[in-house]
Amino acid sequence: MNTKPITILLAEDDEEDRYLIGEALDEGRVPHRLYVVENGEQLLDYLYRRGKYADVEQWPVPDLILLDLNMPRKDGREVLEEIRLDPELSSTPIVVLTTSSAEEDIVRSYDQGVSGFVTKPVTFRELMDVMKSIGTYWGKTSTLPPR
Amino acid sequence: MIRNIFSSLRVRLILFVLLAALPALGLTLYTGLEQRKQAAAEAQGDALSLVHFVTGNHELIIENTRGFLIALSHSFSSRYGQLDQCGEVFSHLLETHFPYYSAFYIADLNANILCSMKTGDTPDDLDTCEHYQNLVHAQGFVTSQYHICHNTGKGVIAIGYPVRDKNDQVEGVINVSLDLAWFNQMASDAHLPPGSTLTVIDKNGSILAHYPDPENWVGKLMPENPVMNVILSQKEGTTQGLGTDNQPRLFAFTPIRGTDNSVFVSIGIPENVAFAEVNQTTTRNLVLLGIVTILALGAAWFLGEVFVLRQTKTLMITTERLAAGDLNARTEIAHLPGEIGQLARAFDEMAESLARREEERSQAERSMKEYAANLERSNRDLQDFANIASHDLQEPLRKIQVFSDLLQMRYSESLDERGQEYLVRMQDAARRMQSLIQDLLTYSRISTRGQPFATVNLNQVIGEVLSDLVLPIEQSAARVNVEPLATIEADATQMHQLLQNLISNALKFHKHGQPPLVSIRSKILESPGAPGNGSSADQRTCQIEISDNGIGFDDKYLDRIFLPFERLHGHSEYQGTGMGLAICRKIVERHGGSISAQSSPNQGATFIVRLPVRNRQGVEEHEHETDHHPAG
Repeated sequence: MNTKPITILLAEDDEEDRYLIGEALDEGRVPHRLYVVENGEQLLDYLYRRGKYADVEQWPVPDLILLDLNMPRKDGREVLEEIRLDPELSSTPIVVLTTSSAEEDIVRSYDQGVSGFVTKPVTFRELMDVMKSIGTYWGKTSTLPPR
Repeated sequence: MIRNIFSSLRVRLILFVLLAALPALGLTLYTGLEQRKQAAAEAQGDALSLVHFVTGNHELIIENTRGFLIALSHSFSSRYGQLDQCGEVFSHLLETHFPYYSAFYIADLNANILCSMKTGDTPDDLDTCEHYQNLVHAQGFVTSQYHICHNTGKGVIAIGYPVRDKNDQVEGVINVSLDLAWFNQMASDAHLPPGSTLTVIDKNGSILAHYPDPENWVGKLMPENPVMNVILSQKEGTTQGLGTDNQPRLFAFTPIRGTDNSVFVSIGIPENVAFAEVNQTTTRNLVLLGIVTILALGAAWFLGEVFVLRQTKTLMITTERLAAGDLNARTEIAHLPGEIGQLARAFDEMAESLARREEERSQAERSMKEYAANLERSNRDLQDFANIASHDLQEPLRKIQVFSDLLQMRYSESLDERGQEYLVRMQDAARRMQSLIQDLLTYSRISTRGQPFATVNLNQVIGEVLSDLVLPIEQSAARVNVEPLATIEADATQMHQLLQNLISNALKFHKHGQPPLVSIRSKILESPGAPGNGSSADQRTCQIEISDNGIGFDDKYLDRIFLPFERLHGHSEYQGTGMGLAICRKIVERHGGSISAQSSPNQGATFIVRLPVRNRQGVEEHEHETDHHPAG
């Protein structure tokens, strides 16, 4: 897998999950560059280049967004709604990564245009497998929109 | 329309008044008729007296005439030799004192008139005169028939007497004719009731005298008339009928004596005269009755308005207000005495009790709403609690699992055997915790996150369940027999969960060393409560039996196995959270059904689920929600 690394923007409020996802990407040998925001507001600031995220060099446009639904300030559901309504942002694929397995969350997320819905696995091995398949699919199998 | 008119209270009241006036009217008319009869009888009695009086007078005159003739015959006989001079004396005498003697003569036996008066009435030729001939041959009085005089056309009666000489031999006759016109004089003197008639007729109907208008009637025949027949047949009495002038009259009649019932005198009193007083009285009575009736009608109209209709209207308006929902409406005439007041009181009491009941009802509704809102809130709170708790519980649990996993992956080589066993036990406990949380979440979501009911083919659901359970079935070498199942209206996901839980239980609790045998049967039960509606689809129940040949249980635990977290076995024997059957029961209850079990230790177990075939409300709900929930 000698592909160029995919730029992943992770929106996750839980510090341990951020750590575990990073570990799983590393352990799964997924070529990646990981950028992290901690809530919905920060995510939108990043995408709209507001405040400290104005520098594109430092905060590059992501190929893929990994989005937690349950976040403080502005949760993932609200963010999805705003992104859906903005044609410029809605071209970036989003994969929901959440503890929720509620059917209504799944259905609504797809209605809001997400590209995948993943319930956070309860073992590290499974998490690693998820990260690997994400890396394989978005880094190799699927062609991402041009930057 | 007419029926409506007669239903009106006012019209009925007026009819009652008219009905009450009816006997008075009848009485008045009856009295009138009676008085009329009495008046007729009185008038006829009077007329009869008059007739008798008139005929009596007439007969008296005849008698007098006879005496007169005897006197004259003696005076003028040849004994005194003055026969030829009679004329002068007579004329003066008769014209002055006896105006109704219309003819008078003295003749000899050779039909020579010796002297006469009013010769116009005297027969021209005595030779041919029957009366003269009778007279000559008679030795005494001869009275002619009452007849009409040929010459004058007057009704007359002639009376003759022989004149004798000194030898007492008849030497001539003396004759006088009485003009019946004297009846007219008598009638006018007798003060008959106004408009009365007096008629003299003979048995042939010839009118001999007629008062008034003699010139129009005398000499003529009486017109054919029932009155005439009565007179002829009855001779004397009274009758009622039309007079010669076609006017209704009361008649009294009697024959003139000495005429052998061949000449009659009748007096006719006009009915309107006879009944004048009665008619007047009756008319006055009727007018009075009319006035009284009109007054009564007016009073009924007015008093009906005041005492009945106004109150009725008040009652009606109040009723309408009540019907329109104004429960404070009262008649406000409940203080009135009598039936109307009673009715109004009863009405107000009814309105009062309606208002009270409405108040109670809305009170009950309020508290019901409050209760429902409380229930709703507490359900929501519970739901929120379950969601939050499960999420917040799951997060740290997941961390424990992931980090223990990471620990095992990266550091298991650093741990000795005991340390590794601790790690495994910790991971087991974490898994159990996770199952518990998930089952609790499932349990709490049955009623709050259920899908609307739709048509569910249970055969299809069973197929999906068995394919989900293919691994445990293969592992335990189980045999599962499924008989055809029904199609019912239910939540498909929950049906899946229900059947999956029951079948996995049947697989799980198998006897050691004996492959499980699971059989699933189904039948439709008609509702026992409504045999009459047994065929109605709404009443039917679908019964599903899931039997196994497993370890079973003592049925003293029957009440407990459906409770949350209830377990009959230790974790090491059989895995599970103890939530499976509790979830089953909650699903069945949400569908309005029931679940029970039959078992004894080591004899297998049979779980019996009963579900309504139709859950219509759920179906309707579902129809407009399917769009929002794509399959998958």
